[in-house]
Amino acid sequence: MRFDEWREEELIRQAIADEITAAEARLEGLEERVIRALASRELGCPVWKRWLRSILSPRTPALKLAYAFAVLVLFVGVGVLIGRFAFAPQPLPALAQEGTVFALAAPGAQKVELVGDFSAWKPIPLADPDGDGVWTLVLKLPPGRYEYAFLVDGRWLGQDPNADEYVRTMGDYTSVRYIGNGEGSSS
Amino acid sequence: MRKIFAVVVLVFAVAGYAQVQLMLPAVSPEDILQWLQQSTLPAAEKAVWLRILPKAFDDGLVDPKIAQVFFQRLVNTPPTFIGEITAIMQDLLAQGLSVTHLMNKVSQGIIMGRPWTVITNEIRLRASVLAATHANLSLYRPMAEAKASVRVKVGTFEFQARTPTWEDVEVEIAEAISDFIAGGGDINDWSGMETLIRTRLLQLRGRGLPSNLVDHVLQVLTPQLIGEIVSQAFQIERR
Repeated sequence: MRFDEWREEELIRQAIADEITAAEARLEGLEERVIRALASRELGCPVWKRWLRSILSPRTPALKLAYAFAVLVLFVGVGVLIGRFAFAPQPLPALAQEGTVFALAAPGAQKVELVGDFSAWKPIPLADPDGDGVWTLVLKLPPGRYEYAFLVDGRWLGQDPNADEYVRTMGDYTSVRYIGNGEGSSS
Repeated sequence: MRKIFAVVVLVFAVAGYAQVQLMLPAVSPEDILQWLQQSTLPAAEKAVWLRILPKAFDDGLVDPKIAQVFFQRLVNTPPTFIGEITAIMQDLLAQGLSVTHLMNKVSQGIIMGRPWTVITNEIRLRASVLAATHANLSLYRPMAEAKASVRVKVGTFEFQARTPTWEDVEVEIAEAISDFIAGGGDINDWSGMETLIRTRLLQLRGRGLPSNLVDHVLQVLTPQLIGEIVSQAFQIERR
């Protein structure tokens, strides 16, 4: 090999080596980048189509224990919450709430209770939180006619000034309230 | 195996949810019967109630919630009183008549602290008027009217859903007549009784009693009909 030929080959090798060195940084991680790009999108297919295909494509049913347990806990949890809020005994409603108001002025009384056919004549306590002697209770009653009385320190008080009417039963008065919107006169 | 596990999980989840939803403070007829069985009610009366109550519950003639309080109070009363009240109720139930309101009336009398004889007399009066009212008004029962009582059973939970029926109208009329008499009204003042009945029925029209039933009974209600009821209730011979 002549000197000029050897020199030319050496220069070519050097040029290639320089080029490889320059491209090395760009080639690093190329394989991973390609795999990631392929996984994230299928070339030439719209997103909605790929989503639909994934929904409709037949699959082998598989149950993951962790997921099943999570669904169970969620189901029972929601059920307990609904049960607690919807069906647990509610505290006595405030006056502002919807219902029938039973009120009695009984200053000095230690205990005032309401008894009526709606509770099978079991006493329901009235409250006087501000101590002004006016005892109140709000009850939600379905439409109808109800007989009731107050027990003031255990003593029967059958004539409520707010009653719609009174009846005399077994030698004493009982108050009556009509609840709901009646249709009044007959057609 | 996985499929079985999935089904089990699903069943548990649904059952848990359903149980929570049905956690209502209700008394079942079975609870009352079981309580009666273990109660200190006199043996003869206990046997009567245990015999007649299951059908009465089925027919909607006794409300379990009212019955529970009634029996809890009755058990602490004298045996004579228990015997008389039981006999009155038994007679009404045998005629297919509701006794729920009378059980409630007994509870009322006890909480009022009335003497046993006063309570018994009042219950007897109301029972007689109810039986006579039913005997006279059943002739006018609307043809289309049907029992709207339905028993719903979900798992172990059972409840009764019902809409007011002709029997409820009869009870309201009987109670109005009884209130009139028990309140000191003249037993021969049939017009006064009729006025009271009309007033009450109109008050209840559409908010306790169906409008069509109220309208129907108001058309047939006359002082003469009330007279028939009262006469039959007190076995008065009419001229």
